[in-house]
Amino acid sequence: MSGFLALSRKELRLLRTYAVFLAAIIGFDALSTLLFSYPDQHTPDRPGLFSAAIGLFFVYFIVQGVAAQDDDHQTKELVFALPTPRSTIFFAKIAAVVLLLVAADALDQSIDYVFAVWSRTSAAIPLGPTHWLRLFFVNAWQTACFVCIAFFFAGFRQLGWPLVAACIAAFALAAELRPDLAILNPLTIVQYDFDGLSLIIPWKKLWATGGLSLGLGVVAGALFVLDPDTLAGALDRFKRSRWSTALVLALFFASVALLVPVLGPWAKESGPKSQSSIAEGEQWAKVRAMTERYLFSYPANEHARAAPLLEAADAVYADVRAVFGKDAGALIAVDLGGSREGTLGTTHWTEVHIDFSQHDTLAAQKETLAHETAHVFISVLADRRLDDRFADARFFHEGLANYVQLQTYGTPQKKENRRFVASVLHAQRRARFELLIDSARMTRDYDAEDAYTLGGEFVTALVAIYGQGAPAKLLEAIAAAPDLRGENGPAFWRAAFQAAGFQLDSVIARYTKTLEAARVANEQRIDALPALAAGVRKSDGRYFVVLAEDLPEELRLRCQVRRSERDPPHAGLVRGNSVCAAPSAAGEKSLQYALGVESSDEGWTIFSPWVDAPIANVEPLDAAAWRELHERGCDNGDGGYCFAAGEDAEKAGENADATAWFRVGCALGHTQACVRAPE
Amino acid sequence: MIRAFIRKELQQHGTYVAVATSLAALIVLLDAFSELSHDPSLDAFAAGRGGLRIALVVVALVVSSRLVRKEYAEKTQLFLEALPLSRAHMVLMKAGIGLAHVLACGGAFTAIAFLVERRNPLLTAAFVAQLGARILAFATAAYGVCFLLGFFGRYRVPIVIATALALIYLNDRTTFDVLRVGPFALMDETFATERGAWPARALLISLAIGVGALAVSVLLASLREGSLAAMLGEKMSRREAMFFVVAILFGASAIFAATPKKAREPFTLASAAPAEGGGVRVRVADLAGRTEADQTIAESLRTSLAAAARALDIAELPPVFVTGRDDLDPALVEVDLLPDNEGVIVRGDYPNPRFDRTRLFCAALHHALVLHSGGRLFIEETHWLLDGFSRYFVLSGGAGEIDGAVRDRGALRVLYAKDLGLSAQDFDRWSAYRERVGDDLGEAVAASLLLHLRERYGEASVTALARTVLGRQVPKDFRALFDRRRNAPRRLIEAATKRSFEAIVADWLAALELTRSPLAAALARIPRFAGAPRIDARGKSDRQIRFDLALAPLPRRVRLYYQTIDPLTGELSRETMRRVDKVATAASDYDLGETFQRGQVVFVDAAAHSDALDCEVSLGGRRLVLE
Repeated sequence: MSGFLALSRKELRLLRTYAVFLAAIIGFDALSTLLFSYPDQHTPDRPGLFSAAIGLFFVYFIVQGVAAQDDDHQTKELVFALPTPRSTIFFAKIAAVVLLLVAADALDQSIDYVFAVWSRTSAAIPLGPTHWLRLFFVNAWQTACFVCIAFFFAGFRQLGWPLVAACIAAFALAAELRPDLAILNPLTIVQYDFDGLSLIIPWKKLWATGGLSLGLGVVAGALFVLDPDTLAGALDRFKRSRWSTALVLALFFASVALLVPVLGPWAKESGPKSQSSIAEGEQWAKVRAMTERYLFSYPANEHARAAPLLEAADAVYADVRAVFGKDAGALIAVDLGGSREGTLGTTHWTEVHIDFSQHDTLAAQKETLAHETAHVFISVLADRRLDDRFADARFFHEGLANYVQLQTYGTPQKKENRRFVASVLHAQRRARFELLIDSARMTRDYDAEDAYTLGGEFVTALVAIYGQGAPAKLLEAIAAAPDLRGENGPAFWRAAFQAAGFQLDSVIARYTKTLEAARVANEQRIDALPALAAGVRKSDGRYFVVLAEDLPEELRLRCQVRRSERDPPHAGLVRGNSVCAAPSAAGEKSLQYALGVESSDEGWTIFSPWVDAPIANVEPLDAAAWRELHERGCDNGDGGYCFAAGEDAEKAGENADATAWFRVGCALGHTQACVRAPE
Repeated sequence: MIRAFIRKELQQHGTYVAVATSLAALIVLLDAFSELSHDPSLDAFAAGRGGLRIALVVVALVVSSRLVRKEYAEKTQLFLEALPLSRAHMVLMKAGIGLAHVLACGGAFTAIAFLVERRNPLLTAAFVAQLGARILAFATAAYGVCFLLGFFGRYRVPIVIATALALIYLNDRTTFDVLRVGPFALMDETFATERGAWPARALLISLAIGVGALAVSVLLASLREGSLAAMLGEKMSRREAMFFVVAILFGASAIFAATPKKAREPFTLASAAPAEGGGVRVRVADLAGRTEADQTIAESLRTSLAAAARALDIAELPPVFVTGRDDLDPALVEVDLLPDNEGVIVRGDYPNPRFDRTRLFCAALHHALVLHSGGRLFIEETHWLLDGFSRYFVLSGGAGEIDGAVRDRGALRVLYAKDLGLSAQDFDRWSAYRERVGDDLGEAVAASLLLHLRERYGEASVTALARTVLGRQVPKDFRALFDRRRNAPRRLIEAATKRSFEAIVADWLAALELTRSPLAAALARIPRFAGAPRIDARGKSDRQIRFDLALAPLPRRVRLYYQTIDPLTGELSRETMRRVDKVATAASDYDLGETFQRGQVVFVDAAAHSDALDCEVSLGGRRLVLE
């Protein structure tokens, strides 16, 4: 023990430079708060000193120094000659670094805590010592994890930095493909989640990250104990080998060969399903067709369906140009082979992707082509300035495209539906301009489609006041004003309207008045819309959202599910008028769902706000619900029954027990497995 | 010789470069997977763009680091210099080898992506040629810069950090758009989608950067017979590294803090009626075209604001822009603060006869004071004084004549608020109090207390209090902590009156009771809420919130406000909350229509509009912890 303490003291002495540096950083931060701001007007949720990625790099920088300092100071032989086991030397190094960093973290957090208490705007805000202790514990855990991981990478000496960078990149990308992996991410240990008034200690995540870090720390320790130069020596010998380059490349290609079959299905399982007009298993060659304005590509087998659209395409372009009163002058590439899930089409600059399979009629195809062409016009006329700030501008991009689509090929019923849905959203206070320009909040709290509906109404108001050419004039003003680049949110839109010679407030007033008039006209219909209270249930590892009360006959239930607000929503599989089966697994902590009602007669759909339902205490689907599910059949939204999936289909078909069918079909949640019911 | 040189470099650095290239390829692959999992309709070029951008820089960095920095750091360039080769020749060969490798990586990506997409009819030969040119020019620029950095040896990291900060500075503080120029423009979102003209300018700039950087590298290597590069190549001590990191970070912070933001067009209100004077600038414009009264309102508002500024001893108030909006409820006023203290926008349906125009003044003064104080007045101790002063100024006649209806409405609001429960502690916990009763009642309560102080202790005492708290600009540093304690309204009032704040509040509440009888009938007609929100457990985790309310007299509609919050959330505004409107019935069980989860904290309130008070009255907002 005395050897350990003596060695720790020695390491701490050598860490003095870093201690001074950390003290300087913490002191600078505290001083700048005291000297250049109101110290009692601070947000209380600042992360720990090392919580960000830069913190991990800094920890690694220190650890690399500690690991190499015996080499640098040529004291390695001396230390190894001491009558102390090498494991003690290693533990002393780790302990010294952990002690320094945890102490720095504690100091930083204590200062921040004092500022937070001073800044408390209301006595109701729980900022007691327990809060500080919990936060400190989680931060200290994170720091300790960083140290263990850093010791592992430091063993690779010169290769350490590129390896750290590569591993972070690889992990970030892998976690995006497979969100379950996020639990191993030590950068996200510190989170401000509360259970009631108490900060939650994320034990599951702590154990996962702690286990991973400890494992890496043990490997680092083992290498050190065996011989600190073992790895470096092995690397050096390998490097000098004649075949090393070839071996590395071979190893890489072997890993890729292994990785693709592993990651591929993972990504397919967790990600959105591709919407393609080409049936699975069939690969039709694509052919190209050129018109004056478009370059089309479509599957050869779709020629008969595509031909009328190709013929009408230039007329669509002309119609869009007529609405804008300007020409985009771009050749637009259109791929009719598919689009992102949940969309009829998507546009990237001057390239458009349309899911042909979702368009039964030429009118629908022309409508979507007009919509996507409008996006190209917007991007070109605004010189991509709205694309650069999509968060502020999504409502305008989508709204203007929606406006153009309805102006050119929309039916009166569609226009009426848009107005009705907008009036409902207005009644629910989801149509406010501050919300429209906050795309992050809109997609976090509400249906992403709101941007189309409300944006369309906003553009209608703009045109009503300033005339048909107003959108193009506004876009050109945005393109021409370089000082708009630094503005955000309302300031950007105010400045953009001013640059175009318009009054933003006038347009907002007209937009709100129109919606209010529609709300008054539709008051009874809006009052009659059902509340969609529901609860989450679990069965066979799948999640179900069960409505508290059935919907009226004339309405159909719709639902969307997502892991978190960062993930794209997926359509849930609706069963009867009360249950939605989630098509994919829940997120790390919760399942997010949005329930909606659809009027098949009138053709509108309205979704309620997103609900973030924690999954820690989800109850199982009870017997009554099972029976209910069994009796009702499973509607996939296309008039079909979902009775079995994949290889279980045959078995389920033979099985007379309809509950088993449901277990196979709905519980798996594979919409592809749903087949149309016999007439 | 050249072949031997290449063999030597391959043998020395081959493994590292192979590892780096493999990792870079992995990055491209994983990024492409990620992109495709989000949008399967992308082609290989579009999917690989983001990863390729990083990968080419990583490869360029590692290759140049091995070829240049390593050589000079370990002083092995001395052996090369002993060879019968000129220094320039040696550097050019290194540059050529590295560039060939980086270009090969870019070329390999182009070839593989083309192979994958060979059946994609949208990828014409001309388009693929353009993509290839973009990739190769980007690779050249990336390699040239990284190769040059290698010669800066131990200063390369500080130079990279400083350059990155300089680019951020240019982008943020000037009109120069860094991301639309040279190599950045080549690999932006137009890559793989732009089929029009070639980006000739960006291509030329990128090639010029690459070639120029390589030329400077040769120059640097040859300068003083290579001694400069050799000196720079020496390893930096950790202490030196720390010094540079701290110096750059602190220096950059200072530069960013000292430089003003980009100049921009000031906010204007077209065809507005102007009024200026007495340290106040007002612009008024009715957007619905009812402009007859604009000039009068502008002048009257300016006069009132100037009087308030004089009373508070403020030389100049931020400009006020008033817009008439006929879409707004006449009981509402909306306010926006323009960035950089540019002014206050106040919106209201002021030409409407039902609109109380004193609200324009109150909102304008309140927010002008907020801007003037730099947001300082929002701290809890002073917040009630900020809320109450504007209304107090109106009711005490400072803003001109007022009609009796406004005065009666103020008195009614205070009595109504008193009946909901009011004590001296509410002024200490003003945020919680406002959250409970709403902004309008809060404003009335604070103004009423000030009127009481005026009546008992004279106008000068209130003016002195307001000047000290609202009129001064508190230094934006640690001195604010002492000022907060020294100039807290409660303390100032106690010092001026020599009485405890509790006693003053008790006096005031007793005085209010004396005003009740003439207003009793009107007060009885205002809806009152009885009841409380109830948490219904549905199973272990689901919770529903319902309101058991008894309302008398019955309003037409009831509004249920709610918002899920985290406990650290500061003051809440009903303006941004979710709201459910219900038709009111005599005794009702109102449901929020949403399921919550155990452990969540939810703010809830039920409210109804009162015509007599011209504002909402509520059950009393509260934060519920769902157990």
